[in-house]
Amino acid sequence: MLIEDIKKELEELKPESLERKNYSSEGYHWDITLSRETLQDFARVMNRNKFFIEDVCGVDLKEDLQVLYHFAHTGELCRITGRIFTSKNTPAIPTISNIFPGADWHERETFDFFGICFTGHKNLKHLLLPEDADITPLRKSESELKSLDDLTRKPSQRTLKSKLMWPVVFENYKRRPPVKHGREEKKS
Amino acid sequence: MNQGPARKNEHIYTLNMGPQHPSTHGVLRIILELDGEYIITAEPVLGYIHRMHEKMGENRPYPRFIANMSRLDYVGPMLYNHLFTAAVEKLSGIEVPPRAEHVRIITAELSRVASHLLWMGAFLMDLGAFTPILYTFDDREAILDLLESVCGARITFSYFRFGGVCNDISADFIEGTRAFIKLLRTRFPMYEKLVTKNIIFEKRVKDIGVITPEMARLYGVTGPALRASGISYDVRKNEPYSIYPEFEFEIPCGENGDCFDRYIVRMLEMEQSLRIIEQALDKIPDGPVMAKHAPLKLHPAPGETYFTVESARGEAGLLLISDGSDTPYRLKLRTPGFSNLSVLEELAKGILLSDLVAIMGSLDLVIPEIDR
Repeated sequence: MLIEDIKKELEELKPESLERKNYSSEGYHWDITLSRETLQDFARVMNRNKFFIEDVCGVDLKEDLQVLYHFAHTGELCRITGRIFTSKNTPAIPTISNIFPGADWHERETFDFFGICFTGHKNLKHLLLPEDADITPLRKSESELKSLDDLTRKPSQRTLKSKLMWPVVFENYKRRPPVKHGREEKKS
Repeated sequence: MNQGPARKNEHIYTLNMGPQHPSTHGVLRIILELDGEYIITAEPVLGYIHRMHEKMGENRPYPRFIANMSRLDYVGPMLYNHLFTAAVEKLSGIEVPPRAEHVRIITAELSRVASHLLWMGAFLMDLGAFTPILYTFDDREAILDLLESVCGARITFSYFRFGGVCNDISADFIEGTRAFIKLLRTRFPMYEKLVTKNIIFEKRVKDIGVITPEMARLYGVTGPALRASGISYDVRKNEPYSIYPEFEFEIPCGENGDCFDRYIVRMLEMEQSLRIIEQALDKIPDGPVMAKHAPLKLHPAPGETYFTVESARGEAGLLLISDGSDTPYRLKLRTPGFSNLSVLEELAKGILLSDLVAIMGSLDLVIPEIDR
């Protein structure tokens, strides 16, 4: 089993934390928190075990910025999330585009939206935003920010809290009168 | 005559392909450096229709974002409907009644067939064959009519709801779908005769734009483009969601990973989708199409979930982070087209300009999905 085999290799990276996640609710198997020094080694481990890169995704938190790396496998069902934190004022993370060329565009996109600098990236310029844009659209304002603790589920929490229901009966769309386009003719 | 180093590179020139070039299927610009007709480097420039769907997701309640999903990929919108609704259901633990699951799969697979039909017509028109698009759009029209009868829209569907679908399918729809499957199956031999065995078509696509399995992995290429390279990876089989495990279907694979294999894989996939629809129609149970306890206003508990579906172009993923309010804290879309297009830069090195058109067509680019 790849899920069990990969554990040893991930532990060798000496991560800050390594957690087995519940796949049926979270959608991934391992959650590993990395540092700047171990990120490249993590990418090499993923490459050696024939994982492919799904995406690189930034999250703006109260204390710092977080970047998530998702890796999945084409042979077996196994998804691994790598996390790395960086400061808000001078956000910088080493690139993994030298190992996974597919990360190139994902990193540029994260640079677009969060202003995170990926050191060692060969072509770090705006991808989706205009070339001269100096905004970071996905960074939140001070009042909206939450800490990581607020975003993790506690065991006691119910998944839903709501009482409003959808209306059960829906009108059949076929019975709608046809829409009249243009100006209606006046009856004389 | 002076043939010094200054003159050596003078036949190398830069050409802008797009953003309004018809074969880029939208507004994609590619900066080409050409040596005669051969490409030295190709640099795609994105973002011409970037609408920041991820930010929109963060500032509106969950149900209102369903409408955005069909604007992301207007060619196979039901599949993206499925992605978002199923991800939110997973996050908040809503169960979907069995009839609704069947309806979802029928409409989603119809949408996949419609997407492949549109792709086929457009791809062949890029290569200079004008006739097929008239036939494929005729077939696609039948699907749009069917889906219009069930949800009222023809392109930008917002049919799925959290806990089911908004409208039940009628007996007419079931009958119409069966008739359509019959019709499309009579069309496949014609397409094979008209296109697949066409010698001009073969010369244009065989051994062009070969994606090796290793290259596909490093770039995160998924979907038919990956399966054409011989790797049998389909989210419906490898990471089953909804009720796909109940159906019998195969994952068609290619061998060489060239444009021709990508064409063949998609053609075979349509037949497999028809098989799934047939089985779903056969065993569709009675009952409600909406969960009884599906809430109108969602406040999922804080948490994080990653969900993927097989869209018409590959693995589409959605990361949802909830903070307990009625809007997501972070919504990240992993669109297959984005990763599939990133391989173009490497594929384009040293090929003819006309082959670039074949490669871009075979990758099935839908720019709204790539730019988001």
